Amino acid sequence: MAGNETTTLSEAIGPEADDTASTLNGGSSETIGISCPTCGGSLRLHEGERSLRCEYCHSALYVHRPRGARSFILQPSITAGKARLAALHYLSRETEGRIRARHASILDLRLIHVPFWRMHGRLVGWAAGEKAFKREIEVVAPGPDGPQVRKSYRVEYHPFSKLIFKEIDWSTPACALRHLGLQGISLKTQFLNWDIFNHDLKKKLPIALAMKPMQNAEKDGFNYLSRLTFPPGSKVRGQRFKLFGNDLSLYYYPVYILRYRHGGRIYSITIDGNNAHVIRGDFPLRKKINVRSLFFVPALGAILAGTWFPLVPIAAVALYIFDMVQNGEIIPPLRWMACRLENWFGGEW
Amino acid sequence: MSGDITVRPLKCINCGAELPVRGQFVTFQCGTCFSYQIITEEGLAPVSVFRAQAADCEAEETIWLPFWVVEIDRAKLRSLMRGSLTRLTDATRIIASTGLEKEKPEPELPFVETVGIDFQVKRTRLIDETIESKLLPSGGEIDHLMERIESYGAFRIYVPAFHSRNALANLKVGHLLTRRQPPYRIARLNQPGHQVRCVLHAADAVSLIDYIFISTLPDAIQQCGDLIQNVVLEPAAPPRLIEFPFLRKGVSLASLLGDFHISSRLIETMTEPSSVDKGV
Repeated sequence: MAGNETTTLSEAIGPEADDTASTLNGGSSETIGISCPTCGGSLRLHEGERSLRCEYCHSALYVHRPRGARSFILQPSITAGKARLAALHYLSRETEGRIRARHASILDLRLIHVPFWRMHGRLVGWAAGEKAFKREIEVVAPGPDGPQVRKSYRVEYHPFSKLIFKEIDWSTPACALRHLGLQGISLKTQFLNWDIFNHDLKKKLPIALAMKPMQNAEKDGFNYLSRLTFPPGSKVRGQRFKLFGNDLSLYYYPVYILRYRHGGRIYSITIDGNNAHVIRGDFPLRKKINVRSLFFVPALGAILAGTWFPLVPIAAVALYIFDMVQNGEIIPPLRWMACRLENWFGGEW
Repeated sequence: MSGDITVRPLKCINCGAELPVRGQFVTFQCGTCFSYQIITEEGLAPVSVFRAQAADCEAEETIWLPFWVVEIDRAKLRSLMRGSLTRLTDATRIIASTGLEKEKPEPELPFVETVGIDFQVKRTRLIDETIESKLLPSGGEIDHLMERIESYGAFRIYVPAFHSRNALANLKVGHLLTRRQPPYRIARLNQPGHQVRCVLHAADAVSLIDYIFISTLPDAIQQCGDLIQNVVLEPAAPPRLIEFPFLRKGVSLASLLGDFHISSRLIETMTEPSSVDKGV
């Protein structure tokens, strides 16, 4: 429906069609899923659109946007299997084939909708203060052959007043999930089909709770955006900002988190639930070979064997028992030996 | 959350006829009863659309651009500006007197001399900087501004309601009309089949008036951050949606009432409302 309508608009308005069509769609291709109140048909609402026609029952509809924060959710467009595959590919690539599917035991793979506060629309504001100018001056300074003229720079401040009115798009994670490697979603939102978030979904879907209050997000957003709009090095004496035409909205973005065990440790990989890109991943780094251990451990073994040969298996059994007691669990002797050797000599065993 | 988006049937609140679908425009004219309606936060509401009358405005090539016109309570504006200036002057005086106190010789104390000098230098710098930041326009400048505003008869702020690619330039059209305060007569628009190219809600227009007003102030007042921060204008009456005539002259559009030119690229090549419906 969306594609057809844009084509029709383009034909109707001639050479500037593409620009105009995008303007009618709010300057971007972001769409929101909504149901027709007359026939219940599924509609795609373009950003900035205020009225539309249902493609099923052809009834004319208008968009009611009350003030306040809105919530949107994006359904994952990849399956859990594809996410798992993407994670394993990533692991194999990043470790140069050291860790493959058979080496990592996958503990779990979970889908989580991560909330982001997004501020977009038109920012209107005004700022006044002093702008810094660097001016080159000549200074007379004493030198070995008498006074010399040297070039120097002096920073001067001149008053300024600036009216700001610009399109903005800014987002911040609404919960503390730094270890997932998520930064923002502003650019992503422009190309995705979002659905209005039904609050009953909270019980059905794995959703991370938004911990950052709306006021804090708004304050952060204004601080960040106002810094961007000021001239560099300026001293701001007064400022006012208002987000105009739109509000702060909450966007739930799907990510898969895969946890796997390798070498007795647990690692995690975050996969984008929309395009199967790995956002961030942990993996064991290749250890350097420990030259000292490479000399001392065989030397110790040789001394024990030279003294009385049964001392070698006795020492190995004693070490195994000691490790099991320390770990609190029993692991097979061969796996234990591999871990031990890795611990002593480095590298992969 | 309270702000969830819903879609509702687009039907005339007067006669119940279906209104035309208009993409991003927020105003509609009913094809049956010719009444104008606007989308508000509560839903569809009736709106009166006016046209400013000008000498050559009946020409066929006239482009009508909608503005929200907000009349400002001048008495409140004067007291606001005066009050803010007095408060800031008092604050500056207090800071300046603190600065004078620093000149008093302080008792010399042994062992703390170096620390004392460092502290004094920092303190002096801080006070100087604060006084500098409080440089205020003179009362005369404010009086002159208010006299100019009061000489207009009614002081109106013009907020562009049409869509433009360049948001800041769009605001500057409002600035140009507000600075000029052109005299004109208005007539209620009841022309059948004429849709208004309005994309802005009245509430949004009111939230913009402070910024348009600030942009029209003289530099000396505009650059005083402390003073301007306190300027919050109050409309004397609800905003009116008025169409103003512009004539295309080459690459620019000439305002028939404001005596200024703007780039024609500023105005979107907006689809006529009928073409939006045509595609369905």
